[in-house]
Amino acid sequence: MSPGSRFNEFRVRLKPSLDEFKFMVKRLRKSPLSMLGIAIIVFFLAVAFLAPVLAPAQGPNPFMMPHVNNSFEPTPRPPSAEAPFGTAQYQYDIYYGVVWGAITAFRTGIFVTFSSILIGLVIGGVSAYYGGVVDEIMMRFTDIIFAFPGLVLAMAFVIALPQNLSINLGLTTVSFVLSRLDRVLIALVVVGWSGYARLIRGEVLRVKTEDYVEAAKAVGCSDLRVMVRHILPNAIYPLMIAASLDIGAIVLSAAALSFLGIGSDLGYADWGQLIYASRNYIYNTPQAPLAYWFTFAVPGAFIFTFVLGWNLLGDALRDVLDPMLRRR
Amino acid sequence: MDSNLLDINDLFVRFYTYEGTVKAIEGIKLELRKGETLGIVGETGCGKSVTALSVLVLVPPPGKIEGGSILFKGEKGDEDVLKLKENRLQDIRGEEISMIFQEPRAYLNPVYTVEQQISEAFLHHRARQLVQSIIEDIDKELQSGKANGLGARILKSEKALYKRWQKQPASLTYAFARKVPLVKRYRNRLKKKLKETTVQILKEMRIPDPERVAHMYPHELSGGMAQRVVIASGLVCSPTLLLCDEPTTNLDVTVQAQILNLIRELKKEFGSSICYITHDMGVVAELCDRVAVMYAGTVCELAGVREIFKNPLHPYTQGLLASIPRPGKEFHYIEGFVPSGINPPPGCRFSPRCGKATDACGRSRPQMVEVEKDHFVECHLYGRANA
Amino acid sequence: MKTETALETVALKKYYSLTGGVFKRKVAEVKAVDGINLKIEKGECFGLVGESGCGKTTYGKTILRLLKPNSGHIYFGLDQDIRDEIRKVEESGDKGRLKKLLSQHDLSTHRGLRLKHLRRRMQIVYQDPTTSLNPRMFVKDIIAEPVKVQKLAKGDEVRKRVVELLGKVGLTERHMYRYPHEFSGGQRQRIAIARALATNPEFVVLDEPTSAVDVSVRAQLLNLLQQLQKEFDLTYLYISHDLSVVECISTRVAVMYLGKIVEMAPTSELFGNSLHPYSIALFSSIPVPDPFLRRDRVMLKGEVPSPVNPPPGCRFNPRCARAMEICRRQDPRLVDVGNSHLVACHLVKS
Repeated sequence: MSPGSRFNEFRVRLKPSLDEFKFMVKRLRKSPLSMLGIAIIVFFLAVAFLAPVLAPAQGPNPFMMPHVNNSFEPTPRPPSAEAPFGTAQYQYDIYYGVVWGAITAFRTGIFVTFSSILIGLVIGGVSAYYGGVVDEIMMRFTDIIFAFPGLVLAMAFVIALPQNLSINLGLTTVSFVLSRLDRVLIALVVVGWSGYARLIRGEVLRVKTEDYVEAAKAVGCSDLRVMVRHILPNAIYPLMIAASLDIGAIVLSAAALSFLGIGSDLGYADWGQLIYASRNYIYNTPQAPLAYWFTFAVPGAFIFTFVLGWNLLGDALRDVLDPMLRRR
Repeated sequence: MDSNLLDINDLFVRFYTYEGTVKAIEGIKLELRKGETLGIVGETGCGKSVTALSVLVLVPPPGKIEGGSILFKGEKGDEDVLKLKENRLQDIRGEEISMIFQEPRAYLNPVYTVEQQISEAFLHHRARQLVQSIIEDIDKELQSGKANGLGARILKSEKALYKRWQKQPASLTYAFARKVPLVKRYRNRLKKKLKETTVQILKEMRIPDPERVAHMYPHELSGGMAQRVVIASGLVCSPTLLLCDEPTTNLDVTVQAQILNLIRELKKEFGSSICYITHDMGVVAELCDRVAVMYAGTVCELAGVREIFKNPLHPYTQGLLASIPRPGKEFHYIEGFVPSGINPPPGCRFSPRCGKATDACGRSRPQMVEVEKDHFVECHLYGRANA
Repeated sequence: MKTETALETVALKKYYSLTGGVFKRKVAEVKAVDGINLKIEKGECFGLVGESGCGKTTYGKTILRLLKPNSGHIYFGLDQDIRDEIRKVEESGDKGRLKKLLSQHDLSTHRGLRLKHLRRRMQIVYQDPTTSLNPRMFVKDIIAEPVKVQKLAKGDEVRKRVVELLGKVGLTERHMYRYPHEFSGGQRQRIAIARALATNPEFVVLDEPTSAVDVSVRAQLLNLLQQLQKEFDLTYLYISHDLSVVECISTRVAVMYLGKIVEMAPTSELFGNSLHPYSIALFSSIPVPDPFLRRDRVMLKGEVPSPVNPPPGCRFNPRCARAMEICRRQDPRLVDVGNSHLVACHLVKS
């Protein structure tokens, strides 16, 4: 095939996807709340990407918050020229913390959600596709996992999982260093996949009975091909909506865990960690109860806005995908 | 016309969807005479269902009725349905104009029994008469003297409650009385009467064992049975006009024959006029007195059923009749596809597919002309074309 | 010249189990297909009619092994000699040899790769084109998939084949990179037909291909199906409840009721001279598009009973106006009454 027509072919192939994308954008533009959600996420993405510029690293690990003026005074200081958002207990720079915390938040949310979806897909998908005994066993297992209280399990993992993990693969040995945050994330994944498994199972059960799946089998497609090529692309929509709503929820959970003291290490740039760092100063004296408002209000505002953005995006996705689903 | 039960003039209905404005109905003119069965034939997307829904002003959003008038000769004389208030419309729906739909089980609420659904319609429209007859029954019982002291007192209090309901159906006392455990026993009379009515109408639908069927839930009914229940709930208040939106399309052939027979007999018994929507020319030939052929939101041809089959004038009607499969003959079909509602062709909607199209057909839309007695066509080939 | 048999089923049965209770034990069985003996000749269009619940769709899917039959044999494209041999071995009672022969030739025992190879030769077109095409796949991929899965072509060849197939069903190359929902019902059904033809099959099961499309498009599709049958020398099994269409397109027709065949004959013979009371009632129920003709209707009482508990004896006897005592006791067998006309009814003596 000549290069010219190959390019043409590519363009033609892309056109329907482009049309759908344009349609999505048009729908999104009509809803101001959706635009707000997208704007928030874009804002945070910008903050995360520009972190080295906005708050230059002052040490070997950029995720460890610096001490303003190298002091280790316990009392937080209000916002000043050196520390635009003030300092937390032991003089951690709040501004630095929230900027690099954005990266942590994205990492947390996306890693946990992604891994949960992956595990949930496999278990829910296989369970729904084969049915019968396989379905029963896997779903009962999922139910057990579902019943675990997430925070308690997270605490247990943080304590029980080792800091250095080495897996012997015969030829090589793969070692991981699991920081406390990593252990928390693993715990969240372990508890989180069960919800997705159920969701996927429901969708796959619905799609499994459609004619085109049977038609694919009539042609001789293998089970794997049917699953990947036919069932999953049609079962994935509710998942996308749940995932975007979940990212916000995961970040909240991680922040809660940090606040309880089982989150990231002390001094790590994490929004929850910032609040934890100043937990003694949240309520000061009865005379001046909110003297140190900046210690929790600033990170709290960032958490709130971040979660709000993802929630709005989830709603927007639902609004957009609904007419598309109906068109089909 | 004096004998016209329904007069649709210049009706416009548009659907405002994400992809654009669908011009579902573009200025149609239809009339239904008293006591006749009018068939509306057409393919998917021609606007026949929307027409029926417009008569009841039940077009779902994003659809809107944009213009025209629908004159209905009801109990209160000639009224334009499109200008009525919701109160009056609710009175009309079910009582004077009823509608039955294509998929019966989709239009029956799965959590209510057959009896509850049929009596709901009846209760809404005939509450006054029901309560009046109950009061008369109570009076008779009181007068017969069979009831002693306590019994008579109970009867009198029941009568008082019912009278109160007659005067003020929305009163709080009544609302309370409905829930209080012992007091609400007075409703048993009402329930009994409703049950009687339901069983009666089910019997008229030729449903075997109506007492048992009245207690069934929709999922326990077969397709034909469910359709009969839907027809029963439509006819329970003896409406003047019955709209049928392809009620037999999803049913088996033998069941369809039964239902068509039933509709024919019920028309004689109840004296209703029927507007029957379908895409099956066979059903039209069997059931209808007059036929309207619709295409892409316009009425192409309107004539008596024998006239249409013997002498179809509009090219689309001719094409439709020719495409009915006949054994031993080749399959005839109409070239092309039904146009999209968002961008209909200019001029006559059928012109891109019409074998006899002229230039004028592509430019302007023809007007409906009475080519022969009682035979209307909307086509440039006949009558005057507008400049 | 002896006509070849494209497909033959012997005593084919397909039951669905209904489970209930805590342990999902088998509570009842839906006898969807209850012993069907059928022979479809090569090149013909065999019509299978009946009402909802009679099992015709189940039969169509079972012979393609989309469903596993409970018992019975399916012989697909067998030479007459092999068929005769099987019959001889059956009569002789040599179970071992029979088992070996059946595992080679009986479609109902095939599995895995052997079944996959056979799938190339037989395909299906579904009733509803909206649900039978994957809404998230391009038309090109939908049609190319059978070719790729059966490894019939690679790379550019696949593309050429898709364009060729699209042309045969009246669509063009421009339609390749579009999603199914952008097409009308009739066009989608054409895409489904193109997909069915992708592997050059010999036998195509058409499961009510025109019932979900408009009347004017119906004729287009039927025309196309007839053309394709001639061009590619296909054998059709046309399943439908639309009797007027079946009358026009089929060479032979069988009427099914509650999982069994009650009557089978060449088309004109069956429609002109139906003998089974059910067939008579069925054909007389078709509304005639001619207001000048008043047809004598044979009204059936009641509705089609559920195939979970078919009535004893002849399945039709509760609704039959001419049921006799024997009808309630004994299930009639299919007998030949001449003219290749088979009926299963006690009223008809051979």
